[in-house]
Amino acid sequence: MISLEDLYRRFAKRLYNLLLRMLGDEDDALDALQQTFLRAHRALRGFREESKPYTWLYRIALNCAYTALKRRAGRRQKEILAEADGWCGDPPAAGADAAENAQKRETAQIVQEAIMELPADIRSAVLLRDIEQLPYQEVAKILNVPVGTAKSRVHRGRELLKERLERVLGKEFVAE
Amino acid sequence: MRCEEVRALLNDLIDGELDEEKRKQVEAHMRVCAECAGEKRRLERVVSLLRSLPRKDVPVDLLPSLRGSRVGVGVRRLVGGLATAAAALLVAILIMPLLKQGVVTEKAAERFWGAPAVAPEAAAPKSKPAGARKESEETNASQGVQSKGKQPPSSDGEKEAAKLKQDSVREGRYRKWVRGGAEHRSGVGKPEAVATAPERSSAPADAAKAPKGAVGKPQKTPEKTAETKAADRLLRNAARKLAERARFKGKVERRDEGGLRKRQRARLSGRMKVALFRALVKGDAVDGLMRQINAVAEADQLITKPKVKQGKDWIEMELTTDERGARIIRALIGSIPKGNTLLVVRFRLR
Repeated sequence: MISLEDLYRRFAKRLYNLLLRMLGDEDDALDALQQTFLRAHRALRGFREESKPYTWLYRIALNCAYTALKRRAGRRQKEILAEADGWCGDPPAAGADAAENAQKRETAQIVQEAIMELPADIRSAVLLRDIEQLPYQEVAKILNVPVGTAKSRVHRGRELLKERLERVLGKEFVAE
Repeated sequence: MRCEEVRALLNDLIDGELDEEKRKQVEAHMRVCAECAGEKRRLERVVSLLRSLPRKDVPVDLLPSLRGSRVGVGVRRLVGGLATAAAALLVAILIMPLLKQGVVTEKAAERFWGAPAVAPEAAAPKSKPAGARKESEETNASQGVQSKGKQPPSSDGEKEAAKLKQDSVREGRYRKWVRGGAEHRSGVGKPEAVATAPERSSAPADAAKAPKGAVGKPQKTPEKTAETKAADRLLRNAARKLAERARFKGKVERRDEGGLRKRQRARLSGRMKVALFRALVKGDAVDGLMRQINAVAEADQLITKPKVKQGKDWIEMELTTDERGARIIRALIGSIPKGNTLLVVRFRLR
């Protein structure tokens, strides 16, 4: 049987990053991560190994994220994003790369803002597919929806992101 | 292929989910349609931007607190169980002398416990079951009064009482019968079952229904009724309080959150964070954590010195800090040695 320690070592970082993107806030992500593993621990006995542990954990994590989103529904998103600028990239290095790093950080910030604009169900689908790079079948399992629904959510999410990023980044968006 | 058809398939193309034939058709269309080709590039750019987002390490190792919380689950269950048992015992201890003094009636006890304390037939000297007879005898003995209740009932009476009880239970009227008292019982014509043991003050419901020929003075008076009602109420309140106390502390804490959040939100300004750290920790870990946090506060890394409430095995800190201070405190709580942290709850408030 898988132990809590195993799960934590294997998945904590992935889940943390998923929650970070989902919630757009470092502290909330950490809270949700702790909550995820507490819930996972409680449910560990009932875990049937027929499903993959990460599918199961992702589902718990997303439920925790939804709970956190509901809890802070009253708070203004902009405030959260304003404070979230510390984690969208590594600190800028000194020297020749400094400008490039600063640029990357800014882009990452804009992308995160665009992600946060997505409705929660679409956001989770996009994150699982395009950031976690899970196959659609897994995404559908985690979200507990048919594969077709998972696909359409991802496609819709990409469209929305494209529109927003095009608007905000302008020429930079197409210049690669 | 038309542009609309191609656009609908672009996502599948990017995901590599198109079959060979469709893929060739779409690609052929894009070679001649710059718009569709541009659309594909833009979608690919979105995906590549998402994939290039930096990955961050978990800033704090949560394992120690998670391990602690596992201990906590067991401890909480144990504490909860023991507290409930203690509450029940305490109520029993409270109720016993009252029963003996006749302050609490069987009726009240029945309402309180949700089941009759003594079988109603026990009130009848001739028809008492063994258990009830014993209790009655003890009560009488303690009051130094001789009564008919002390004498062993006839075996016929016992049988009859047992049968009555059995029938009543079977017909689902047992409770109603107990609550209904003498009026109800005399109404159904079972005088032998309501003959009262006069000194059994713990059974006023029965005592009140004593037939005229019963030995001893009647027990039920208007004062007694008021008194028993008051005692009944008192016991119910005591039990409710005990039950509340027996519940897991965390629930009480969670109830407090709303108020604390409100108070703290009111004091917010700018980018400052008001943080509330509440940790349930064992023994020395409380002092250790306090010392460390105070040291950090004195070194000016936190904006304010924490307001601390501290119990034997818990600590609560309220402070205004910035991102860095919050991180330091989180790390400090995370560094509490394994097994010492029962539960760490952290709120970040704006």
